[in-house]
Amino acid sequence: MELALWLAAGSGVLLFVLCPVAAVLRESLLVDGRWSLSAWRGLWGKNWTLVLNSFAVACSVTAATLPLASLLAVKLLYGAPLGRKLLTAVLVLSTISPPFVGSMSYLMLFGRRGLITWRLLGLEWNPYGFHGVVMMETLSQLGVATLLAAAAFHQVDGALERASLDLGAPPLRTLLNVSAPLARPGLTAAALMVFVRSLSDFGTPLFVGGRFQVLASKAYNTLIGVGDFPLACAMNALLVLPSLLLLAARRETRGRSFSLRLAGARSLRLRGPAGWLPEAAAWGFVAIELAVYGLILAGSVTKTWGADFTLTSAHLRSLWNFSGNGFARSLVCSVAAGLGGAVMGAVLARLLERAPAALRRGARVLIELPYLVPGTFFGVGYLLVSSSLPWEVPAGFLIAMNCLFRQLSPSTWSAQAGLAQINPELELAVRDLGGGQGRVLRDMLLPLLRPFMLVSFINAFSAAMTSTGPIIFLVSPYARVASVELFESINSGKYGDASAMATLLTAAILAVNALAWRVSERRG
Amino acid sequence: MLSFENVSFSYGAAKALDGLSLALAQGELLTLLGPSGCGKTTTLQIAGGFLFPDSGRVMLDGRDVSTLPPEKRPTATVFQSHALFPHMSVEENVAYGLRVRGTPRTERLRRAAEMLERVGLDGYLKSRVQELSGGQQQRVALARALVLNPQVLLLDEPLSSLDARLRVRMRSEIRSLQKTLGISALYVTHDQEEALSISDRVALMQGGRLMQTGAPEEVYFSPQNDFAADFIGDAFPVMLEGRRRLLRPDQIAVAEDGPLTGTLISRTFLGASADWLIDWQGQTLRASMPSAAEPAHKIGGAVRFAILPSRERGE
Repeated sequence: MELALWLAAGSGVLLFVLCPVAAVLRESLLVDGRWSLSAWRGLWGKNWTLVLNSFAVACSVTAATLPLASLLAVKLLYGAPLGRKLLTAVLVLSTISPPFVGSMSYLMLFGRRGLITWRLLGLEWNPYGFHGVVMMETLSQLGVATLLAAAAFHQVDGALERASLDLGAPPLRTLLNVSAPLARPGLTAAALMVFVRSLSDFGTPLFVGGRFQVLASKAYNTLIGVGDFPLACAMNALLVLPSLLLLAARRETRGRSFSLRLAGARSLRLRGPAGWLPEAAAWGFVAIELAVYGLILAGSVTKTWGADFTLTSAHLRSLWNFSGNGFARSLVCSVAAGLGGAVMGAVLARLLERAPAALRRGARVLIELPYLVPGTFFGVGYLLVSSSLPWEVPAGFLIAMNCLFRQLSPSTWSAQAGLAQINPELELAVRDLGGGQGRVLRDMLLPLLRPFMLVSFINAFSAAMTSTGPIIFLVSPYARVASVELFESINSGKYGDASAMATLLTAAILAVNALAWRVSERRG
Repeated sequence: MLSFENVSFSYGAAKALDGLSLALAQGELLTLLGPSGCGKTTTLQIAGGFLFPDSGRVMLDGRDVSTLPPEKRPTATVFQSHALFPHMSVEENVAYGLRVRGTPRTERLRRAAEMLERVGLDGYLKSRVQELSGGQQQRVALARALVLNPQVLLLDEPLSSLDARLRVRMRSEIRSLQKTLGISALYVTHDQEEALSISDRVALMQGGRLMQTGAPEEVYFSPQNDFAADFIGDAFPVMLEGRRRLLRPDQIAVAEDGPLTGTLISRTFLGASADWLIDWQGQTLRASMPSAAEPAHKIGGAVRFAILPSRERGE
């Protein structure tokens, strides 16, 4: 039984993680059928500016995001109770909503035919370029970064903060001298995550970069346009290096759960400027996010944004007529990825719990890898592997598998966090009372892991619904998905269609989230 | 009934049990007593089938059960953490073992209710286990094991999570329940008072070996070695007339007309009793006496006392 599970999980990980990654690396070293380093040398020559641009963007985004995320996290845990729930809701909304909606709203306001620059003020301000990319990536990373930072502060023992206050340290001193140093591992993890994600983001530079390009966007253009596969693969592979460093640097950081149950019962209360700065940041963030969603809603019922602001239902209707199929495929693939991920994560967590240390370390690398490598890299890997097969693999299957394995890391750690909370004597008790392995699974493990598998499902489902980079090369004119259509609408400036699609996607994700919680609450 | 024949067990390189032989009689409550790491819990887990011996045999009613898995063994365990299923009600927890055995629903609920009444939890059938106090959870764990009518009841430090008063009450309840049901039980504890008060026999363990087995009075009054003397009853070594002897605090009798004289170093008040540390010829003695009979004293002052002979069993 256990051996069979090992074989199944092992072959799955090898086939859907190791093979694609290896395929991309191989492709980058294979020019015209021969082993060659020429693609890599190209990176150092004429593409060197792109490398510099990529790292400049990633560094700037990290430098901007981390302080802001820390401020928001401080507001969440140590700030005034007013607005805490609203901020949490907006944060969660921003992490599950489609990517690039920030960029799109930005262009709707400041773009070539933007509401502010063109219609109202006629400003001569160029929104495109380095500054636009950094601002928009910061906005899109802020949600995840804040949730990670809040989790880091949440893990700090409140008794230590009370001890510091009791010993006479004022609240801000306590925050800086006690809470922040203790939260540092989590904050570092958040910073590294932001760095890697902004390094591999190709959509934002494409939309708001203008002539400013980075490796990820250039790699995308190269794959779509010229088709210099080795060069594009080398570019992607170069972006993998920081992820691998991150993987090596990150020790067993557990409890990386996105299910925020913030008690907020902290004795620490900030006063004065230290108190209102986080408040201001929080309300500013909420205002911007609400403006983003407001604009998208408005855009979806406006005839031609920037030119003709009459109300229309044309975009929503055309969505229904032309994109229903893609939307349905998105839903099916995402539900499959979510369910599969929850089950596979639970199985892996259970297997790894009893595995020898060396095996556990190796498996951890393979599980984390898809989560950390750039999406396009992972997607190209699937493309290379599936096209080398003698038979046609259905696109829907590839998309579902891609989304499942990309989110396998959070799914596994969620189940692992669940297992860690289960008293090991419970398993002994089942067996002592006469139950075998099957009973242990059915009567004890599954019921107790269910809330954690639900978190896995919701996370993987939401990620799959909005996944773009990993699957953009897997779709075809005959097999389209909603998130890629959204991406292409923005890319071609069709803000009406894009807004309608973004609205529908967000609504669908929220509905499934709500439904899943409702089901779990009724059962539990 | 249950017997260990020359059983050894190792965790990797660490030897946990070293040739243990021990037999539990029908209807007897035998306590495994010893410091942490002495092998007592390992012994219990081997009895329950959670571990299999590296060598030696475990016999149950003349049958070799050494490699029989826990679900096939006619033993039932009360776990240290109680190990109650958090997603089941009190009633479902107690009925679970019967459910696994395929007992019909009405029958198993009836028997669960019966057993819960026996342990004094008849109003709590539908309660969630998290809503119960520590003592009540303890009773549920006990009922869950007893309802299966096991041949041997195994108890792994079952009272260690309870507070001192409740511990005293629960141990007499466990004892009377075990006696009325006439069930054989193997009980693990590191608390000597608990072991002495609850057992028919005590098996004292250290380093994976049996140090002494006997009735509580026997192990207390006639320790066969230094370890036994020290672990049960706080004995301390003293050189008397050129010979090393083990004395217990109740053997030092402080009295006006005592033949020996020492100096009082310190005094500790313990409620019902008081402990004195006395310096005598460069050796430190410990005296224990009822507080009500404690003489007037001054730290640093002279103390007259006598050393009583150690009592033998039954005196």
